Amino acid sequence: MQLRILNSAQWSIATWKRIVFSFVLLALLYFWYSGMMLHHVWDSPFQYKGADLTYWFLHSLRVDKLLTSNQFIAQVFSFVLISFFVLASLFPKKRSLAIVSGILLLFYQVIFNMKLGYHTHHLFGFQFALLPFYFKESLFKPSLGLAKVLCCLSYFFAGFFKLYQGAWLSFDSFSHVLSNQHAAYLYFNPTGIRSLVVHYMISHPSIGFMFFISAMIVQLSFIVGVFSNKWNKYLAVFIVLFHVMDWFLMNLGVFMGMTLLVWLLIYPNRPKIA
Amino acid sequence: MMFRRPINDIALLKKSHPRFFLFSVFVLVLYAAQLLIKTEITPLGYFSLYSNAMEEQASYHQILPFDTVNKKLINIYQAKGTGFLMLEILPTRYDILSKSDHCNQMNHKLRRIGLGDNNFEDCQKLSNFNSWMTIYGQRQGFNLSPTILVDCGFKDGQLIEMNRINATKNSQ
Repeated sequence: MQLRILNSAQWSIATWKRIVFSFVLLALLYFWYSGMMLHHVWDSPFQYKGADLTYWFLHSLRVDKLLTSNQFIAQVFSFVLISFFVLASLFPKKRSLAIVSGILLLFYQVIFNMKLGYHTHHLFGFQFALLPFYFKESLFKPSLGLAKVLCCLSYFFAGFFKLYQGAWLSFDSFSHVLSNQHAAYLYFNPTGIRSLVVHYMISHPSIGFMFFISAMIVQLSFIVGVFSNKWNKYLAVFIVLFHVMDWFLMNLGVFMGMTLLVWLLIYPNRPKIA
Repeated sequence: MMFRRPINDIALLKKSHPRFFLFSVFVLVLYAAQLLIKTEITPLGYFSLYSNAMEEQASYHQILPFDTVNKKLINIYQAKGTGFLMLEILPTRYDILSKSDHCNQMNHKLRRIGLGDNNFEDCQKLSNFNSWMTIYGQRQGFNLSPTILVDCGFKDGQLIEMNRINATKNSQ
């Protein structure tokens, strides 16, 4: 009886897959609503590849030209992308659906960024979160481990760059970052809760400084996740807190999708008991 | 002690799943190489945002569409969902990229590793930005036809300067 209760509390890989793919699907629908799909920017004059070799590689294959050659093709691509995530959620046993969804998501990410003229990374968390579903079930645990390492390294480097590049040495830097980030927002929305909090933090640099240092320490702490599973639950809470604050304080709600990475940390490590 | 378990796990993985082990090594080496040759680091570089100290500015700038008929700035924060970010990013990137070497802000990094973006097509296309922005604004639910792009300087929630983009810097 106790074993049955214990096992029922553990979801199968298929259930986790349904949750993860449905989450990405909802995020994509929200991006559609926000005018951020390929068919919204297909004719943009940007084709920015920067110094990222992935972008140059796809550009050399003319994938970007093909998928943005006209509005119809771009719109069909958006429908196909969404449809594959629906199918992958409905048929979790079909690994091929997960792989195609991931490739389409990568195409969307790279070409959208090219047409935006800026390599934003609000979708890379999805790539990490989907990684374990691309492999055979025998490789589920190792691929989950790899995805978790990549996730933890990303957050760790966020703290590392802050430490290394010295933003923490400047007491009022974060106040100026807030002034810069919300320059126009405070003009258009002078009285909202976010504006009041931001105004308060701008005029009290010590609070902004403590906040910045705390965020940096939290990010640096992700290095323990590379070597151990012991602190996974705490790291999961840190991810949620970080992105909620990122949304509230920096108005970067677009990165809330990154909270999907939490699943890599809360997936139970103990095997299901037969 | 902390490292013993992961080292054991890696040794086991190498034995039980050699192909997956090689894949993992390839991914991690790719990341390390990007970090070393300092090309754009995807995605490790994303969080390097705000890692440099920021000095106080006389005003904080943002490029916004300006309605020339009603003589007012368009409130991009009324866009649906998180669409305002697009209207924040697009004009800013136009301003940055159109002033960059071959309209590629990262060209110096490409040249450092013996490559380089020497195409002229990207800059040619960028000359259509203003007319495209009108089309995109309409997709976002804004009527941007009688608008121009202006670089606005704000301080403490107040607009203190405004200069037309692509025009001689004259305060209006």
